[in-house]
Amino acid sequence: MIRVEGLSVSYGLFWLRDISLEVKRGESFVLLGPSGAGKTLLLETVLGLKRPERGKIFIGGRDMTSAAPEERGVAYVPQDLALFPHLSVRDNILFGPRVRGNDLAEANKEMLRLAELLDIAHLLARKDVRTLSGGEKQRVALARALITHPQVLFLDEPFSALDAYVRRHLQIQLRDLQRSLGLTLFQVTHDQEEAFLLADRLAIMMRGRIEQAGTPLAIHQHPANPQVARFLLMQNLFEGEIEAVEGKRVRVRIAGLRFDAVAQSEMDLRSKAIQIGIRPEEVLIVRKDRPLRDDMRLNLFEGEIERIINLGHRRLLRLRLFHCPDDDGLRLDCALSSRAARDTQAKEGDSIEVHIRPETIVLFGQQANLTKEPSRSLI
Amino acid sequence: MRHSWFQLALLCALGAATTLVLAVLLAQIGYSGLVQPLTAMGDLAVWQAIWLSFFCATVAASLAIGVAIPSAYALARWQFPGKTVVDALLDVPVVLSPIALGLSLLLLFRTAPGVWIQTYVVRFVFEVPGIILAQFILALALSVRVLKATFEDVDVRMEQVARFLGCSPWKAFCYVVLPLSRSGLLAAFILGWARALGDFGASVTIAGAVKGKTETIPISIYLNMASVDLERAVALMLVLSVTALVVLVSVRLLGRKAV
Amino acid sequence: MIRHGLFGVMMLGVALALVSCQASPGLGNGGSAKTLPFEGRSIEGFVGSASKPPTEEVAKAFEEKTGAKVVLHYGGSGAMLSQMKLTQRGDIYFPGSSDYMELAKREKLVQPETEKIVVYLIPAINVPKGNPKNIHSLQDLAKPGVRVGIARPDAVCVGLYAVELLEKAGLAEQVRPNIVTNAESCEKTAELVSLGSVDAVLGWRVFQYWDPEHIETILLPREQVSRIGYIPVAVSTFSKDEELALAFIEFLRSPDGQAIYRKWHYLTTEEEARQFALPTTPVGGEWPLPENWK
Repeated sequence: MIRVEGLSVSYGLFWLRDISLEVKRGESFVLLGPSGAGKTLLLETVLGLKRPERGKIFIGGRDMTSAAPEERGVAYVPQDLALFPHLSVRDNILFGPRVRGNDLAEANKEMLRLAELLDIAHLLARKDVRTLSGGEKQRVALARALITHPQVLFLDEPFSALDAYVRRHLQIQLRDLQRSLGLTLFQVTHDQEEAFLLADRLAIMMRGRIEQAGTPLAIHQHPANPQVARFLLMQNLFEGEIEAVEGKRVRVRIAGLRFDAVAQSEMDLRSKAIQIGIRPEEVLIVRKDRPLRDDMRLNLFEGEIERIINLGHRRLLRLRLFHCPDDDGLRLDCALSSRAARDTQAKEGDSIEVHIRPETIVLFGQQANLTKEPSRSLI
Repeated sequence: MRHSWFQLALLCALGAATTLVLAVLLAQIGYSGLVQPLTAMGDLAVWQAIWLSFFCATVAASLAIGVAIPSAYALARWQFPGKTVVDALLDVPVVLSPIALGLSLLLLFRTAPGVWIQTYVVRFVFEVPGIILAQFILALALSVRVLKATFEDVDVRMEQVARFLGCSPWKAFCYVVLPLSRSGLLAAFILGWARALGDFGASVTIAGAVKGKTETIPISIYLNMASVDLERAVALMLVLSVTALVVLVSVRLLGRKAV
Repeated sequence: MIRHGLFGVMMLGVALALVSCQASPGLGNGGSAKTLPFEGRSIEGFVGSASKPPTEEVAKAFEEKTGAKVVLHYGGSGAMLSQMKLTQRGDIYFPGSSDYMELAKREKLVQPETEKIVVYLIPAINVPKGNPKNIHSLQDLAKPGVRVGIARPDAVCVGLYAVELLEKAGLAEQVRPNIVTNAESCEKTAELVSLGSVDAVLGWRVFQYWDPEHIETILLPREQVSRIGYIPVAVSTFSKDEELALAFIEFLRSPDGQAIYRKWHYLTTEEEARQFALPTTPVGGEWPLPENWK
């Protein structure tokens, strides 16, 4: 449905170079990245609000690179929704059909149908859109966009201004709507959870480049590089040395500890230096009251709990793993659900044993080092 | 409730401004009394001057708004090299003393293209169109200034969304930008109209002071002062002040109802 | 409470400042060796701009000679009289023509017995330099296609003189259709010619000397000059230093003063003026504007 080839666009000193991506019909596509990555710039360029220096944009199979916004057959809901303050709720929603000269009886029926789907039927009588709540405004904006039957719906940080509860509710509602209508969705967000909830396919954008594209699951399990990993909150990233390679199994030595990992794809393992990443959720605390299973003998480490950070529904444990207690050791983050934390009765200062399954350790090949590169972001 | 120093200062400022204007009006009444102005209203020449003044000001301000709206919109939305210069250029008519503006127009119509226009299109020098032209330029400068700020305040995202909903740039302007600019449009028109109505220097320089033909109220006032007929001059001032006041209040009230 | 007090003190301060800002006698010149007769004194004059260039020079000469300070306001004769009347100040009224002096006398704004004639004015035709439309007489002003300008006859002296000329020459009906505009002041009448906005005006003979590069005067035959105009001066009824005012008037008419006016091509004696008119031509006086010109 959307195909972007070799797109390059600039904004002041900020550049997007050679961006290519594809979105299939009926797919929910999310562009995820930190602030300043250039997501909104890319969105605006695909929409036609900014002119690219190079590259092509195809929508619905037609070359739309130089087409005017109203010729693209798409709908746009910006971050601040841009509801028309001088029009009532009905007039806002019916704006598109009216301007296009469509049959108003049909449009009215369509409006009622969408109002049912979006749960805003009780708002249709309201005169002033400014009196609506955040969630209500969002749904009116969606109705206004959807009533024109766009090929693609573009959304910019659609739920960033809403409270957590309303946000979650709307995210799920939008996902359901998208599935039932078979709508093609192109969204931009910096919120991980939102991205994973809404996306069929995901692209991670950082510093003007698309770092990785794929299904949410694939990206989650195998981030392409440490930068993506860090953004996705895989914050246990370490540099180490390869000690041994046996087929797909790799042994890495870090701070005196030996980690056994499994290489997922073809990797250049000739050099000694390597980076690994471990998701906090995959750091398993061994329960002292249960017997040790055989498969847990690999990657078994001793350590102590330095800090416990309470996030409400989760606990983040800052651990120090060591070979000998006097070592400096390795600091690792471990995430536990509050139920699990309760069960293990973990306390700060406790010594613990930790197991990490080899297939959950992500290996990163020779790449940019972990130190931050100077950011060329917009902000 | 105790009022702060800040609120006191605000009150003083507004009070002083209003008092000043009222004082000017009252001084006029004090000098000429109310009989003089009423007798003046019985004079045909006065009615001619009133009619001419209001006619020219309204035509000039309307034309000015017609040109100012698209110009201001372009200035508000476009970026182009030399934009600062163009923006400043449009302020020049207000900076020039009105007599200088009138003189410049006279010089303009002495040039070859100016002479051609006067011969084949319309005569401006010493004619009513000259008054309208001079007032148009003054009203235009003021209207553009106000409208540029107004349009800049309209969120460009609204126009973008309107475009995606199916509007051409023209429709987006009509259905979204203009409705959201109502109060600015009103202010721009009032400002231009008031300036046009009160103009003396530019009008008299380009159109002369021919009684019954190019004599507006401000010109009339000047002529009366020049022949030391101060009572008559002040009577005319009062007539101008009161009629203009009535129009301005009505326009504001109508404008509010429309919104 | 404090707020009121502070406000009151502020107003008192402003009032005091205003009061003390009265026009104070000018600070004396840095001690000069010789004491001049009117040192330290000053007079204020309201002057019609018709005689601005020479009058400025004369005033300066007077200052140097007497040590007095002369402050002059220039503008339309009528506007100047209005200002004088409203502000109730001034020592000298020096309009551009006699009818304004008549008006000033009627309004009791000047002391009639102090009136003196300074220079004489002759009405004439003024054309753009080079006389493109070949105007040589009043009759020529009636030629089709000729654009004529005169000052507003009901407000400006030279306009009234123009109408009198035309009426008395019997050419009013013929020339009137060619009058395309009325100027609102004496200077504006001359400006019409300077800018070439019209083909001819009926103005003063001296216009040519105001702007020799652009204005040319066409003299009228002596019998058509219906009236000799003059520039009068008088002491105003608001004068605070009559002695000095009278001294200034004397200086205007003294050989030194008159020499300056002659330098600027003004006519300083009646005999000179009569050379452009007849022995019977009235000097100054009034002529009522006919109804059909109002």
